[in-house]
Amino acid sequence: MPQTLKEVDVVVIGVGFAGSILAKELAATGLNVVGLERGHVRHSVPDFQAPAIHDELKYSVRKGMMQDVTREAMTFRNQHREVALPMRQWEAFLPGTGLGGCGVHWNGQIWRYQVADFIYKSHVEQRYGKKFLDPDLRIQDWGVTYQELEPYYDRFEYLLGASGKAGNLNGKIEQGGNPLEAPRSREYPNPPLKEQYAGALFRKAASDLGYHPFLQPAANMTRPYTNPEGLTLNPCVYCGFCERYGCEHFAKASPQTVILPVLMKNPNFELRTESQVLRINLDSSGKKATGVNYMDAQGREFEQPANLVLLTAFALNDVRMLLLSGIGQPYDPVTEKGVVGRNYAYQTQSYVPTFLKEDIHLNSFMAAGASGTVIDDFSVDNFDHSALGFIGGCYVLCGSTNARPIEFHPTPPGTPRWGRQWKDAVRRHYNHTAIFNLSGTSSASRWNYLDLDPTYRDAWGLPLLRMTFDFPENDLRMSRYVTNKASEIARQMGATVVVDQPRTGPFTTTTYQSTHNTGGAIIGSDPATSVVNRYCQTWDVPNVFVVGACNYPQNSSYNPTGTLGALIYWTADALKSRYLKHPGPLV
Amino acid sequence: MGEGPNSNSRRNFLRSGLIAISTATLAGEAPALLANPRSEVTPRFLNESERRFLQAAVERLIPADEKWPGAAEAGVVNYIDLQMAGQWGKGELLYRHGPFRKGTPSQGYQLEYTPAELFRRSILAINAHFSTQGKSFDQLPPAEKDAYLTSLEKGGIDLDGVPSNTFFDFLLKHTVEGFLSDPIYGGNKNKIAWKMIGFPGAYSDYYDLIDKHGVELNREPMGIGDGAGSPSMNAMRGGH
Amino acid sequence: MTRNHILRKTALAIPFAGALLVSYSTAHPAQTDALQLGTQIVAQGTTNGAIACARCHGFDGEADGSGAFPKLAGQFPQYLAKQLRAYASGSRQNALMQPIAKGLKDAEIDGVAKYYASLHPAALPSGPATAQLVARGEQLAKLGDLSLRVQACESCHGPNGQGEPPAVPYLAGQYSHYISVQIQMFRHGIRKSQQMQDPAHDLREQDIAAVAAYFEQASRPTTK
Repeated sequence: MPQTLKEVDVVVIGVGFAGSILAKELAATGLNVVGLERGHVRHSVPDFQAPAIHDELKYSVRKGMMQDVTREAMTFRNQHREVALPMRQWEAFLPGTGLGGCGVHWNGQIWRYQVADFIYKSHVEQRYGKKFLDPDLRIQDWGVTYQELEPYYDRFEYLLGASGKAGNLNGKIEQGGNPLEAPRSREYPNPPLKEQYAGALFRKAASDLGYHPFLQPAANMTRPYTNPEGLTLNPCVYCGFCERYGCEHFAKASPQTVILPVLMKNPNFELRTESQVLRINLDSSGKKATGVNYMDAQGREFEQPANLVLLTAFALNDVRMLLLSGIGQPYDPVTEKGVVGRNYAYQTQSYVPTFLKEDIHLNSFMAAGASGTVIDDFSVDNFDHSALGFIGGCYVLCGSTNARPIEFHPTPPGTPRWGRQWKDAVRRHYNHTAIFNLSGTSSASRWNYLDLDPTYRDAWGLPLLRMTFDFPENDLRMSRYVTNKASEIARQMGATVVVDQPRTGPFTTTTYQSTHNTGGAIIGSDPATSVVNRYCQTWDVPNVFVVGACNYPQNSSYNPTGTLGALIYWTADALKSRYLKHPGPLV
Repeated sequence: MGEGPNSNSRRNFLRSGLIAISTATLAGEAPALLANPRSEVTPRFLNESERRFLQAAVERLIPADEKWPGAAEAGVVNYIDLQMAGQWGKGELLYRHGPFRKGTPSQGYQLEYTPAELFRRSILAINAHFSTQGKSFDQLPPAEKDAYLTSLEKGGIDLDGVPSNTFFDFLLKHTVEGFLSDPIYGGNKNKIAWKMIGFPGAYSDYYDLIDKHGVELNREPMGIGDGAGSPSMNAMRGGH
Repeated sequence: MTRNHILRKTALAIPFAGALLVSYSTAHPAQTDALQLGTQIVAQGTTNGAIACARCHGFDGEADGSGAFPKLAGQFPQYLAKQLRAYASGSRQNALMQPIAKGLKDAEIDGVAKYYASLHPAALPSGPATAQLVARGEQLAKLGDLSLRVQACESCHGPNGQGEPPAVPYLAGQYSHYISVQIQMFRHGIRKSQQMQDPAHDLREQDIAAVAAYFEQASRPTTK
């Protein structure tokens, strides 16, 4: 029999970026807030200190910071007609866990989306006509615009100490930045990262071909920085152990470095870790949440009553929690009725391995998580698609986040997978090879969705999340086109071998691509086709808010976290200035 | 093979505060210890015939050449032994609830064998295959070894329930890991693989070097075990 | 690598007792010129008025034991050269070193840097320090301190403080007094460093003494 605890004002499920920031904002107004985190406490000291943290086997290969797959896996199938089977180990994407969530082990690639992204359907129809889209695509408008979110992007970037150079300051194009970015109201808080050798070579080649290279914006500090919360971060030393690892230098923006110490000081906030939330409880009307049930590490179950529930447990877990709790109607791709689980999307990644002459020592192991020189010329709708027959695009990045040897030992095509020749090729090419990274839009599609698995369960006996996903044909055509363009830049760099490697289907869970899982609890203006309104409030249960990349109706070319930051502060504002004053539907 | 949701007390204990380089004495858990690194560790999992097969096989996968040692000399078999004896080998990092069904290639590993079981079954089957012919893998001339490994890699051979290409990919993956991982895990002896490719290792402050494009960094690689502190210091290092 | 014994060309009276007069070097033949030039300047100074380095830093790079002058033996040549250039340009301030460095030509800077880099540091007995202080220093060096928001020193300064060549200097065996003074210089912004600014600021006074004590007694490998 679960023990019922004393009621609190707010329960936050999942204490990552979204959970930390929302908890801090609400606790600061005087509300009492409980943060429930299923993972462990971890801090920069001792948990992220080098050299122990620079353990590629433990953290990259064995996924040391990731969700415990033995207790909480997911099932997967490409097609609706197939039987989904468990992902018995994480490979293609790596959901995190633990205090700080993915904010601990992300790279720090911090982007804004384009103006067009937020009105993507309207934009595409207006520019290319209603008949342009493949019939199975389901792209939608967000119901909130870039202009509305701009001040909140700014706030998040200053919280994180983002490093970059503005390319579009209030409509004026600036030298040195991204001329194709959406307009921003002020400069980045810190100057850009130091450029890598590979990036410099790419910069020249891309410029020669008429493109507009710039340094990727980064949540890795480029100088000592004190953020608006009064927390000081140190400059990044380009150690090459960023994604999948915690940062030893207090140089990567993570909840631990940018906000948690402030949150933890507030007596209104209580953190409970190793607390597995099982479901959000609803009253008999089904329209009001009464709190959550969770289980602690000793296996004891508690009911935590609360007036307001914030679901911030990472995109995929958010969708699962809604399904387990019966909030919103589950999506059925056959009937296209229902909303929870619909519009699941991803990131369409491709690569151009670029083998350079052996006297060019790239030193790719010298890298910040967001190192890279980029062109935005082929992202989203930054180029004319009329004659091309697809929508979407990729940013093209050259640089490295690491050259950790188990993960990175490129060999040219035709090299055997093992033996003397393989060994020689690895030795010869390790320090002279750049891999372009193309990060592509992912269009929502009728048959890509999330629901609950009928067979497989987690350690608490609850159904696993089931993912049904394959790349829409549109996105594969897009990938072919942009990857081909990127290969031209590689050839312009004087490479000896260039491998044009677009994304091809089917999507496989067996090799890493990206942890940009989006959708499933999407934002929108119409409750028939979205789960949350423009304030991230669920249509069905007004005292439940969901903030995560699960809100995205489709995924843009860019890494999602920057936009999530904007949504977090936008939602915080809506909670503080509207909801708390008049609890109830905000739309 | 099904386990109840709360039968993981030992693994939870493992997860609650130990790191790979702690000096804890859980059997099969600690890799080559910081305080007393030894290049050859008492075998923990592999039996003699498994060792012999693996030593010969990994040496074909990453052979020695005139200048650089190969997988055998780098201690890859030692690495595999330790891994199979530990959490990973025992399947404690995999979701192992049934039902087990054959999946599509996109669905990845779906066999019910733990990594250690997979190794054991496959190598037993391979060794049995050779002993019926009065031979053993390690005694074959190199070209025949390579031919046999290639036949495993191609697939189509059943190794007592393990498809041979699944075993081969597994073996190759572990060989590469054992060659290139930090020496605290028992392989990459003397950081030989890192020296070969020019990877400087686990100590990596490049603030002053990253913008010196093309600088040749000719320094001894440094690994996690190089900064061993006093025993009380090592006991303090915790975290997840 | 061949070991060459380099003997003094001239015998100079050195005003400190016990200084070693013979150094070992591992000189690559192609660098012998630079090394010879460096050796000469270390012994005699330059005609430009740069005082002989050995006067303060010793022929053996161990200085005079007071900690007023840093140990240079075995320090990375690129780091030494960078510091000399910083003194010459004024971006690193020191009343003694600035005029000396200004008086050195480029090749001379490289030469003296190579000279001191080629020396093997001696394992000298360290100054007195309580076990408690050294233990605290070791903790900061290998683990950092969360409440101070300070990372482990060794994440940049290398295993047991042996440095990360070529850019991050060794601290192992360096005089604790010298280390303390330098941290104070970083702390007060007199010596400028993006990387050292915050750690120097965040360490408390007793922590500075602790890391200095720890590193002085940390052992360095005697071969490269």
